[in-house]
Amino acid sequence: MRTRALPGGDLEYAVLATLWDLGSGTARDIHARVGARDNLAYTTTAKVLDRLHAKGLVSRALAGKAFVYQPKAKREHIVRGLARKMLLRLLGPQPAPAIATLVDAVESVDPKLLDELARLVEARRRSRDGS
Amino acid sequence: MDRELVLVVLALLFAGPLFATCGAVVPSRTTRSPSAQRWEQRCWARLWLPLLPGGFVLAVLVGWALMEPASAEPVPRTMVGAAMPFVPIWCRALARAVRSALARPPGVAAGTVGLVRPRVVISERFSRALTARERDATRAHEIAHVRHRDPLRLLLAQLATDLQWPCPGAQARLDQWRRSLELARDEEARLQGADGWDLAAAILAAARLGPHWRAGSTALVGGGVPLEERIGALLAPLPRDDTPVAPSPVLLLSLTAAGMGAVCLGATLGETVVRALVA
Repeated sequence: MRTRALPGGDLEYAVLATLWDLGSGTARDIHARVGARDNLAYTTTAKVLDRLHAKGLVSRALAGKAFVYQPKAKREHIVRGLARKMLLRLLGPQPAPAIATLVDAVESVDPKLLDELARLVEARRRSRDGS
Repeated sequence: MDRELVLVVLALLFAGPLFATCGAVVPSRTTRSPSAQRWEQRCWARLWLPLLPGGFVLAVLVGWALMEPASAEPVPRTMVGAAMPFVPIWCRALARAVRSALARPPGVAAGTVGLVRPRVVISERFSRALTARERDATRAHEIAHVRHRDPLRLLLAQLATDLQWPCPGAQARLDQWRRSLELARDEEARLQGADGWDLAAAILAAARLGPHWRAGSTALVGGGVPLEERIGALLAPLPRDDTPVAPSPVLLLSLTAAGMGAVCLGATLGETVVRALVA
């Protein structure tokens, strides 16, 4: 299943929420409602819209000299996704399984390290068997 | 109000903060001892130490509940509100315990599974990669896990740690115990006659077969023992001094007696105390 992108942070969510309320709007329209209220620069709002567009959460079409943005993701999907993200964050990383394994599950193992250790073990065993 | 509901609210309100507070106060590191088994026992005891005061309170509340009729004095809303922050913590702990119990990591070369009746599992692919001596050494290591019922202990340790969330010291204690556990079982296998070098070779073979093996990446990470440390311990002579001691029967009896005493205390004085609290 493809993982849906989510707005990262309060500002991205606020901009997306404004688009849901408006239906569509230019960067200036959205800045008037969100950015100006928080004393943000216009370029900040425009950058946020660019990021949302890159994530595929909004679409845009050129109308004259300005882009008109429209929300692509549905509000209920995003809200559900954010709730799930918060729940997973609360649950924390996957707990260790209740299985005692010979070697713990590892993120990665350096093959050079394995070879070096294997050589060391083999050398010791040869000296044991030889003696 | 239902007796059970009052019990839950009081448990969250009193035991919850005790778990978190004691979890923050108890030092997270246990001094390493020459014997890995003794170190493991110390780490295990330190894992549970922060839960003793809260456990005592829970035992008292259970004693109270045993004597209380089904319908109890209602708890004031302020107390219910104060207990609420601990609901997600305890639910989280239970949810993670369930996840831990159900998780099946892919491609386990050798391990011990089963909470109630632990048993050794060794994959055929891994078994074929070993010599007879290495197989015996692997079995000795896993039988040591069976002997101590380590899958159940792993689950309980995870639960104990999560009840102290978000105290970071609790996770550090769990990680240290898990680290000491594998070293202790290696040592026990050697004391039972397995060769340390054969066990080391088996561990390296298991690491090669691991599902997360990726070429050109960094050294072993995670909550387990760094590979170099483990192999180094296996190639070193067994500790001569500081031989492990089984858990003291006196200590176990004392803890049992304290628990039963707490239940009796709750049964006799619980009603008076609870009534004073909720009034």
